[in-house]
Amino acid sequence: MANYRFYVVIWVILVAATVLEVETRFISSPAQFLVAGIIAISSAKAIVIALYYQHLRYESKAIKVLPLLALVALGALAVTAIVSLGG
Amino acid sequence: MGILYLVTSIYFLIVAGTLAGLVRVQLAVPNNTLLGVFQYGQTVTLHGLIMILWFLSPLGIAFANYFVPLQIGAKDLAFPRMNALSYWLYLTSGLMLASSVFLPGGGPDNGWTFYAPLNTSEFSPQIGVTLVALSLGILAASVTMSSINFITTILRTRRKGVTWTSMRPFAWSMLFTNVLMLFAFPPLALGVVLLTADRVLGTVFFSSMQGGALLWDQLFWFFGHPEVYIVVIPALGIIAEIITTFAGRPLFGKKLFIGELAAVTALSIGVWVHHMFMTGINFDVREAFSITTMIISIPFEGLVLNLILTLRKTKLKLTTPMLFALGALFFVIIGGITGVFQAYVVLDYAFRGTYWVVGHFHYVMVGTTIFALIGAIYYWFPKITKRMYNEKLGKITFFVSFIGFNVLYFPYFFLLDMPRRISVYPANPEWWPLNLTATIGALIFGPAILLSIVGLIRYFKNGKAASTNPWGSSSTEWTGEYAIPPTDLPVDTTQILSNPAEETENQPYGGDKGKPTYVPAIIAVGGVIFSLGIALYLPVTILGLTVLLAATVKLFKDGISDKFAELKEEAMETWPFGSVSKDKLGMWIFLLSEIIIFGSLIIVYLYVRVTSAAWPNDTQLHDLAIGTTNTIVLLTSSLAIIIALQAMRAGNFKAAKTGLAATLFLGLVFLWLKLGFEWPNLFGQSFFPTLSGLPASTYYILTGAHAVHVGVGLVAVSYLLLKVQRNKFTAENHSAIENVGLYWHFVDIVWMFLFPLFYLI
Repeated sequence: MANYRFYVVIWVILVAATVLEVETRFISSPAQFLVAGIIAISSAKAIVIALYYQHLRYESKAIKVLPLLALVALGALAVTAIVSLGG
Repeated sequence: MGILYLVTSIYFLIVAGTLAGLVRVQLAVPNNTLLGVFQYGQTVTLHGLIMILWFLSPLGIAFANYFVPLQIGAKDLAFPRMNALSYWLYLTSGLMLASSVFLPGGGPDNGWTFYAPLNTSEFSPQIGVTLVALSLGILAASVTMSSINFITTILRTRRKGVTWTSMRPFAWSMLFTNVLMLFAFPPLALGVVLLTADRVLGTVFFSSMQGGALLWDQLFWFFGHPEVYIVVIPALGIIAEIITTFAGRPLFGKKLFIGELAAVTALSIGVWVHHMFMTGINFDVREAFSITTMIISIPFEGLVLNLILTLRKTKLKLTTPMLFALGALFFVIIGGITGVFQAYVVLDYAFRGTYWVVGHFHYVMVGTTIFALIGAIYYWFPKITKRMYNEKLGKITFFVSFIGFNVLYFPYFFLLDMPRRISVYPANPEWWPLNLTATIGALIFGPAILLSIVGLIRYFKNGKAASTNPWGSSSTEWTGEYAIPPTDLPVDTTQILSNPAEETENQPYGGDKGKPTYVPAIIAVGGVIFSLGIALYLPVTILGLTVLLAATVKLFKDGISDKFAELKEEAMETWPFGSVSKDKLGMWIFLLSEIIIFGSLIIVYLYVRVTSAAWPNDTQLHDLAIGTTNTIVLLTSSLAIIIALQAMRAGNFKAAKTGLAATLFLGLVFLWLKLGFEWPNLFGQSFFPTLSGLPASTYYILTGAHAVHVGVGLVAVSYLLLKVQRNKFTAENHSAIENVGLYWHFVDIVWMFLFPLFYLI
C-alpha cells in the first residue's frame, strides 16, 4: 500500500484538475465542447478518488464490479428517460 | 426475527385481504352505492400497496430470515442489529401507511402506482398522501438494509462446504431477489422523497410540465416492474424446495435453473417501459422494450420447465405443501402466458387498464406467490414449531382456495372491456354476471385462506410433535449437515458438520446473539415521529430528531464499549471476495445503492433540464468562488481521512486522530459554507422553488441530499474520533476507519458531479 506522499500527490492532481475544470468554463468555445470537457474532467476526478482513495484499484474484481453494475443500471435509466422524449 | 416477519406479514395479509373483500363486495352488483368513489379509491390503493409491499415481499423475507442462514450454514445474518432495524422500519411504516385513512381528508385514492400529477397537492390535497409517501420512503430504507444484509450474508458467510453449486435453490432465489431489491428500491425512494418535497417544500418536480407524469413513470416503473420479480422469484425458490422434497429427486438442471434466475434478474431491470407504452414516448424505445419483454419470457419459462421436469417419472407425495406448490406452478403458467400479450405495443393498447391486466397480475402475484408462500408455511411448519399441522384440514383448505381463486380471477379474462379502478358500473349484461361470479369466488377464496391461518395457529398450540425431518428432505435446513469438500480439509469426504445455528442455540458465540438491544426499535420510532412531523406538523420533527439523537448516542456507547464486537469469524466460503471482510463488503453493497440513488437524482436533473425550454445560467445563480472553495475543502477532507487510515495502519495513533479531526473540521466548513452562507444568500435573492421552479427545486434537493450525507458522514467520523480517543483501535483492528472512509470518499465523488452541474455548466 502507498505512503502518505502518494496520497498528497493524488490530492494535488485533484485540486489541479478542479482549477482546470473552472478555467475550462471560461474558454471561448461552443457550449457542447465545454460541457463535454467539464464532464470529462469531473468523471476523471471521480475515478481517481475511487481508484486511489477508496483503493478500488487494489480490490478484487468482484468488488470492482459492484459500482460498475450500478452504473450500467443507471445508464439504462438515463438513456431510456432521455431518448423516450424523442416523440 | 423470521417469526416476527412472518406474524407481521400475515397481519398485513388480513388487512389487505379485508380491503380486497370490500372491493369485491362493491363490484358484486351494478350501481352499488356501498362505497363512494373516494372510499373505493382509497380501498383499492391501500389494498395494492399493503398486499404487494407489506405482505408478499416481507413473507418471503420472513422465510429467508429463518432458513437462509440454516441453508448456508451461517449462525445468523451478517448484521443482526441492522436486520432488527429493517424489521422495525417495516412494521412502523406499514402502520403509518394504514393509519393514513384516518387522517382528515383521508388517504391516497389514485392507485398503488401513485401516478403524477394526481399525487401532487393540487389533485390530492389530503395529508394522508404525504404520509403514505413517507411510509414508502421508510419501507424503501428497510428493504435496502435488508438487501445489503442478505447479499452480504450469502456472499460472505457460507459455511465451508456450502459452495455455489451446492447452495439450495431457495437461498439462490433470495440472493437474486435481494439483488433486485437493491437496484429497484432506490429509484422508488427517490421518487417518494421528491414527491414529499413537492408536497411539503413547494418544489415542482411532478407538478411541472417539464417533470410531471413521465418523470414519475420512469422512476416508479424502474422500481415497479422488478418488484413483480422480487415477489415471484422467492416463490419459485420455494416451489423448487417443496417439489424436490416431495418428488424425491434433485432439481432438474439445477445449474440451468440458477442461470435462468440470473437471466430473469438481469433482464427484469430492462423491461419497465412496457408499462409506459401508452404514454406517447418514442416509438423506437417502445419497440426495444417490447423485445426485452418478450426475451425475459424465455428464461422465465425455462424456470417453469425445470420445475415441471423435476416431477417427471417420480412418485409424488401429495401432501398439503406439495399441493400448494403444484397449484402455484399451475398459476404461474397462466399468469405468465397472459402477461406475454402485454409485451406487444398494439395489444397493450387494447388491454391496458382493463380487467384482463388485473386478472394477469393476480394470477402471478396471488396465484403463484401466495400459493407458494402458504405452501412454504405448511412445508416449514414442523421445522419452526416442532409440531405437525392437520393434513386433512390442510388439503381441504388447498382445494377450496384453489377453486375459490379460479372462480374469483378467471372471469377477469373475459372482462376485456371493463376499466379497472371504477367503483360503479352500469347494469351491463356482459359485466355484472362475471363480477358477481368473481365476488362469489372471493367469498370462497378469502375464508379458505383465513381457515388455513386459523388451522395453523391451532396446530401450533395443539399439533402432534413433529420429528426433526418429517419429509425426509435432503435439504440442509432439515438435515443440519454440511459436507466438507475434500479440497478444504484432508479428511474423509463423508465427514459432516452439524447445523451451526442449532448447535449454538443456547451458547452465545460472542456476537450479537444473546444480547438483545432496543436501539433499532427506537430508531424506527424516531423515524416515524420525524415523518409524522413532516406530514402533519413540522415542529414535531424536532421530537423525532431528538429520539434519533438519543438512539445515536446509545449506538455510540455500545460501539465504544465493544458491546456487540464479534470474537471471531469462522472459516467460510469466500470466493469470489477473497479476504474482504463482511463489514467492508456490506459497505460496498451499501455504496452501490447510494450510487443508484444519487445517479437517479442526477438523471432527474438532466431530464428536467433537457425538457426545459430555458434554464438560467448557473454561473449567474451560484457563486463559483464558494463552489470551488467547497470542492477543494471536500477533496482535502478526503486526503485527511485517508491519511488517518494510513496512520492507523502504521500504528501512529496521534496522526490518525489528527487526520480524523481534520476531516471533521473540513466537513463542518463545507456545511457552513453551504448552509450557513450560500443558501441564506440565495434565499435573500428570492431563489425559492415556489418562485424559481425547477432550477431552485433541483438545486436545493440535490445539494440538500448531499449535505445530509455529509452530515451523516460527520456523525460517523465523530464516532471514530471518540474510539481513537479511547484507544479502541489498533494497527491491526481498525476496519471501521476504512469503511467510514469509503463512505466519505463516495460523498466526495458525488460532489465532483454536483459542482459542475450547478456552478459551471
